[in-house]
Amino acid sequence: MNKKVKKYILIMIPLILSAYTHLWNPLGFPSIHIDEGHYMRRAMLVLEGMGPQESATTGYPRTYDHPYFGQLFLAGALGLLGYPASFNPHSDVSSIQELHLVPRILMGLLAVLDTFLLFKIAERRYSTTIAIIASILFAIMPFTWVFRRVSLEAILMPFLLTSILFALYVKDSKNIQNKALLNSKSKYEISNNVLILLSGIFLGLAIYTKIPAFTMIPLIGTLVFFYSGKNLKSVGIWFIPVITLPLLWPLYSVLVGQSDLWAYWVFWQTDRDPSETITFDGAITNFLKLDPLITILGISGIVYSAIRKDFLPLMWISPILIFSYLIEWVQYFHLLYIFPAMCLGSAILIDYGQKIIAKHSHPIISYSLILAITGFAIVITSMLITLDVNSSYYNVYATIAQQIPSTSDKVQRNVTVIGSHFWVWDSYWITQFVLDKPHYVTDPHLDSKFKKQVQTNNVLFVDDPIFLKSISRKINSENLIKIREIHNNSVEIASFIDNVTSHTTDSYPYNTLPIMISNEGHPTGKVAIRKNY
Amino acid sequence: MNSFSSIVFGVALLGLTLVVIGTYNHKYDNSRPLTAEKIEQPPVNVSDIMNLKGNIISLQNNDSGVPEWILSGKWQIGAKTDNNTSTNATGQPEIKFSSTITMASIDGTRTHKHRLTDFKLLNMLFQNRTATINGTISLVTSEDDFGIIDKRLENVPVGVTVMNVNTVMIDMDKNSVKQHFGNFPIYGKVG
Repeated sequence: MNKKVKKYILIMIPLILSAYTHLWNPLGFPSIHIDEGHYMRRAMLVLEGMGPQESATTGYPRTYDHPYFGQLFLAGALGLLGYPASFNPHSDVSSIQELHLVPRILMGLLAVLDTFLLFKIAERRYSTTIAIIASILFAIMPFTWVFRRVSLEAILMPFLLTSILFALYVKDSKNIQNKALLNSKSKYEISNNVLILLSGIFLGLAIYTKIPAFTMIPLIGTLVFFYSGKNLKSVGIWFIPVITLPLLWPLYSVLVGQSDLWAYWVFWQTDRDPSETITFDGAITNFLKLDPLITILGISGIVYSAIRKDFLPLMWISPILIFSYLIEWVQYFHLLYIFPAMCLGSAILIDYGQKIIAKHSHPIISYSLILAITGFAIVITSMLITLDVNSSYYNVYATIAQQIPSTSDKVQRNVTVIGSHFWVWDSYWITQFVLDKPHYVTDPHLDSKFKKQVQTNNVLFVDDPIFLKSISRKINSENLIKIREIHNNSVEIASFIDNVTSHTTDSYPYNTLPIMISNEGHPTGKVAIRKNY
Repeated sequence: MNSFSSIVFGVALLGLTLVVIGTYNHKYDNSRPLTAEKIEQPPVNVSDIMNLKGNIISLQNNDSGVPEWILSGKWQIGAKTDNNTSTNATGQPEIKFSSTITMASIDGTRTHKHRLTDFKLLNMLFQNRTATINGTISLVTSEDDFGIIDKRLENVPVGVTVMNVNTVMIDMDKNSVKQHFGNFPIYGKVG
């Protein structure tokens, strides 16, 4: 077998594993996160020609909380498929599932691309062996399920990894340890300046997706500096798109005369008070609980690399961890940035371990280490990704969609949906923008004192424990009194038991299921749909 | 730059152009209000302050500006009758204000109680998110403190200011209460 074919086969192993862990059962696991509803709603706005900036008048009131590339990318990718019209959307359960399936498959494909990019990064920087191990770990370690959700971190990851990869491809470096790659000549070579610009553009797009990606500037800037032969001019060229692309966001707010709003919501994001559960310590603890093996291996490998004076993995994780520590308001999925570095660190350590074992025993025995880890990880990840935690979710969603009537002009709103923050916003993007069933929402999370009047005679309630608690509070509000009155006169038309964490047990990995829905206000238990019309 | 580099660079520029077009090329919604939970709140009116109640949470300083008394207790604003909409002769809604205040010295050795009762409304002022109710009250003091203040002081002018339906400030005429509450109003919280 020639070398090229062997290499293709080797690279296919992590890619096939990644395709399995990220594309198997995308509807069933993990639970639909509240933020998925937010990002899909914004993508729908772009697809409807309303631009990437959500209107506070008609949409979610926290307007300038993130830059725009997330919704632009989602809308672009989904729009190429003719989504949603080409899927002939309806309000039945199967159609609601299909509408969720497409973006989740897109995210799965991005994760497969991430696997490939991590392989190329590790191959370029270290060796093919480390590349295979790192990409396999990325594909199968339990934490990788977080990439299955529609999240800004998962969307920006391929752009971030591509930025790192382009920086590593800058030529004539004395830092490439895999010297064989330097000798290869190809007609598809890209010149240094273009590579540097591309690296900057991709990092700029990552930051234009979510601002904390700026914490990768020290890593990639350092790579550009050293791989270009300590050329500061190269770093300057690289830095132009890194800075200018994210500036499109504040510039937009200036153009529409809302720079004050932009500043307000940016400061709101950075000043969010950490609660008892949303803290840096909590995020790290949850990361450890979700994937103890990659945490231990990754940290050990990163320390080992640093001792060997290879600071790439350490520079990858340090700025984001320091930033997260300072911000305080951190959740486990915000740590997605460090997962590839953990896999890389683990791979470096495992490679070292394999070499030690091979020295003292038969080379085949040395593979036992990675085989054991792979076997363990595949079993654990399979236990999770084969679960169905969303069946009630789609049933509740479809019932809400069915009960909101269509209007002839698709503008007039005849119904107000009142329920917990999770349900009114998660159900909004399909009912409002895909099925064209315009309606108002009342969200006790954003309007905690019920200052907003119910604007229609027809009201649809989504009763769950969180919502029922919010309307039973002692609040001096005429509107709340009216809502209670309408609620009492409404009729229950369907009820479901949300099974999102029903598979929880005391043993790993099922004990991590509550973490999956932590801090997002996902109601569990009975969800009843009631209406007064 | 070789030809492949040029092609890649061209594709990158095209991609960037699409991003810029995607960001800016659409109908702007300039009519968007400054919707922020704290920025855009409607002005308050009488219905917003009717039936409000809460706690007194205040400190009283001595003449040197050093805290001397801790003030705690309850306050409430409500309708004078069961019918919230009834008005007096001047067209003002019939509302009542009452409060209980416990004063404890900082060192914990002394304590006494007051009741603010028999509220008579003079006028009400509403300015954006601030509501001020002016009137008179009777200040009733527990027996322990008769040495400092009369058991019952009547027709004490008082201003009750509710801010953002969130905090309250009770300002009694200082001379009428013989500077008993110091030089500053008494503060409290709604809810």
